Amino acid sequence: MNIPLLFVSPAICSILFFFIKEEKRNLIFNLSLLFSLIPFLLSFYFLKIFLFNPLTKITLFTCSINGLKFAFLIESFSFILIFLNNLLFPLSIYFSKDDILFRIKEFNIWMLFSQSALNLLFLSDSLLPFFIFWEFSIIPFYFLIGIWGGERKKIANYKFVFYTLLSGAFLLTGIIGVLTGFFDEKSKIGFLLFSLAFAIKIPLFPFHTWLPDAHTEAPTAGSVILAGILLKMGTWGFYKFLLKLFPVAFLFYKNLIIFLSIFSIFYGALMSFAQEDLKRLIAYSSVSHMGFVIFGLCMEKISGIQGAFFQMFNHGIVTGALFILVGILYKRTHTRKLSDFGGISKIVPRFSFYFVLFSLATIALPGTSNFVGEFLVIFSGFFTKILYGVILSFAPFFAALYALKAVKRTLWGELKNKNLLTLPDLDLKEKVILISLTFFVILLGLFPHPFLYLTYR
Amino acid sequence: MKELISYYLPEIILGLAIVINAIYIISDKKSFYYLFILVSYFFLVFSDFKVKSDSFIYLLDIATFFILYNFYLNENRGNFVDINFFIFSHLLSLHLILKTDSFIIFFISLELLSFVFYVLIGLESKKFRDISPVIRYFVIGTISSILLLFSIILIFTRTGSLSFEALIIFERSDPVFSIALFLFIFSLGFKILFIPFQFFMPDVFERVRMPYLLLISLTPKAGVLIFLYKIKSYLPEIVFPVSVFAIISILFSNLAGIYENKVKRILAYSTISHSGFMFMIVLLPEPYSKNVLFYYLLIYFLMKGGIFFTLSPFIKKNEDIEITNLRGIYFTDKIVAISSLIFILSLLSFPPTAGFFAKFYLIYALFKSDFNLQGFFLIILTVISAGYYIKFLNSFFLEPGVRREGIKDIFLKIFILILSLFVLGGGILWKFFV
Repeated sequence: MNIPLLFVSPAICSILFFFIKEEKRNLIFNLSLLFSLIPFLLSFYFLKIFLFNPLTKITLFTCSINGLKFAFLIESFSFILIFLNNLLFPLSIYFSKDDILFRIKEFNIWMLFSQSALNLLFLSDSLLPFFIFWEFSIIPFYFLIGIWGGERKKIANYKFVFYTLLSGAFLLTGIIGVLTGFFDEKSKIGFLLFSLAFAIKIPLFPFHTWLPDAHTEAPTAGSVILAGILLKMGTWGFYKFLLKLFPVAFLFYKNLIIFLSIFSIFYGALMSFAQEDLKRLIAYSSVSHMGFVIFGLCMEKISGIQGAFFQMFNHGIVTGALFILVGILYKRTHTRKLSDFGGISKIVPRFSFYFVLFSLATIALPGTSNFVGEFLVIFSGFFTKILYGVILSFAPFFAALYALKAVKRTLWGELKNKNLLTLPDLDLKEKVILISLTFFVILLGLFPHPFLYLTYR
Repeated sequence: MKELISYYLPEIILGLAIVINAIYIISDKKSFYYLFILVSYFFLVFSDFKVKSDSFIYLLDIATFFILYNFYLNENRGNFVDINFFIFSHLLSLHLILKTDSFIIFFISLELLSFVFYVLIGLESKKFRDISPVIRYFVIGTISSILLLFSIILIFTRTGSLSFEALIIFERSDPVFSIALFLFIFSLGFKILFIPFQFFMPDVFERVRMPYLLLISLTPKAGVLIFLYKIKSYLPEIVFPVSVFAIISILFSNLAGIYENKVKRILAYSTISHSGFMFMIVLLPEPYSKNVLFYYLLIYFLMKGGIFFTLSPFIKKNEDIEITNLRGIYFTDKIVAISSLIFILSLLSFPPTAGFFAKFYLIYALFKSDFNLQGFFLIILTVISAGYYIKFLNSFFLEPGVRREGIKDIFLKIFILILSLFVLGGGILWKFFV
């Protein structure tokens, strides 16, 4: 009975905005924050249910139209992503309050629309609604990047739209093939179509080129959601549909996907190390992190799947926090170039604290939640093949390359740019956002049991 | 005789309406003219209902109503009487095409249809530069008519009958059959906007005004498409070449559309691309064929009509305009902008609009009937078409606007809003057609 609130409340609010004047800036932001918080508060109700019994499945709605199934349900795995979704949206709306300066109403409408669409995407249990919301998620981000994006927003937008449409095309072909019974569980073509669609979205190595542009040019809130939620659409589809629809064909292509995921981990880290733009650096690190997720899912061990979901959650939190930190810097200095910074740790100590904390979380330092996730994934790698485990054990070292580079070039060293002397430290709003994200990183780093309990089968 | 009259009742009513309209044109008084149109329309639909006409005929009636309304909005009122004469004639010819089972009636109705277009497109061309594409259209159209007539003669000489059913007894190994088939497809290709035959069509589109463009885009192709669908059972050989031409025209129109920056030309390419999609329906076996055809045509009329109604107040002249001239419509008229967003997403077949379900069901049925490769091609080709539809969205929403007037006509606004709601929620309608 409570599930509809997850997607109805943001949608209602976005319709409400049609009747509010653009000038009432505070009212718009507060309303949108309130309505996007309702699903988040509701998530705790579901958390209670799933902690009581993680095998629970609550069906929202099932019907069949002309032999095509439309089903929505919530289970513990989809709950994790729904929780993440409803955590990141209010935070990014809250952050945008003084980050987005024009066309505020539209901004909130698109944010809320995408929140409910993404909730529905993770709720959907059959292929057709999954596809509908997969495609629908393009529209809000087309506007978010196109209107409030950076200098190169046009090209980034084209890339984002076309890559996602292409992935949608592959997905639609696969879905229609499955629905008509043309692809069975052995079908290699069906598997390839699905995995191509997801590989573009995740993104795995050769299909990742849309990501750095889209993440860099999007406004901060857009980057947070893009990295935090939109990439998980691919991994969620990979887990939910691909592995269950084509188990036989998966065995055939398993090694190829494992190779691609390992390659993505190292390629993403090295590319990230080479960047001079702070946002681009974080964007490339996503490629590396998502490689871990796919690797964990491919292991077909319980620890692998646990680790993969742990990583999905962590990546959303940590990368989101890093994008917000870069957004804070950009808002004050209007630059993201590493060469413009350096030595600001003394001027903005609180900012530096969070920056270091989340950078260390990216490296998977013990005590942060990333450590647990990566440990589980590497652990499952060792169990499958020792070689995998050995290779993956080097990944945190490569992550340290880019994370420490970012920290060193921004925070430490001498202060070259004298304009930064008057850089103000975090204000209350930013503190609230960062503290709430830190809470999850530390909590799950030290006490991962509830999460492991939710994903244990 | 009585049966014949009751069977052709709608056509007789249309004929009467055309005669009365001709009297209106001759006499100077124009009193009760709009009442006359409404009454004749009412009687037409009522009689269609009475004689239990083919459900496609209702669709064509709806589409013609759209066209008339658009003409009413964008023409000076004096001209409207002349134009209506031709619109009614074109509706009559479409009715006859759908009802007849004889080649000769088909040929005559098709000629009447083409004649209406030659006149309407050439009606207001004052300069030679405007009229040159019309002349091209006329010459090529006439040549194709002659070829069509020749192929009908070939069929008649070999079978001794002019009815469609005679095609069944046509000896397939006879070389004359191949010639007749080739000529038939070739000439129909000119009439129905297949790409290799219709290379000049965007030029024609560029020269005419929006209501004429709507007329070209909606009904004639639908009429010929429904005709092809009916003749398919007598002439199954026609299916394969039609599908090949359809894919070629989708591919070329979508690729050509990407490099266009003018509104009318893009609309032309979009029309050709959609007609290609519709002609793929001919491939399908029963009962998919009829359901998909009906649903696709209905949705196509709604969304194409919608985008024309939203854009035509901004493009008044014959000349085509750059798409950047439409920039920032969002800031002048929010309702129009949001409706046009829905129409464009639907033309792009984006879920959850009705355009998506139309294409989805087409491709689903293609897969069910073992045309997997064609289905896959159609999906990929749809992605290419995003290349030009996205230009509309870019200029409507993303670029800063210029000062201009929005749509003032409140009825038109409500009409557009209703259309957009239909297109947005049309996916639900899909349940009733399948």
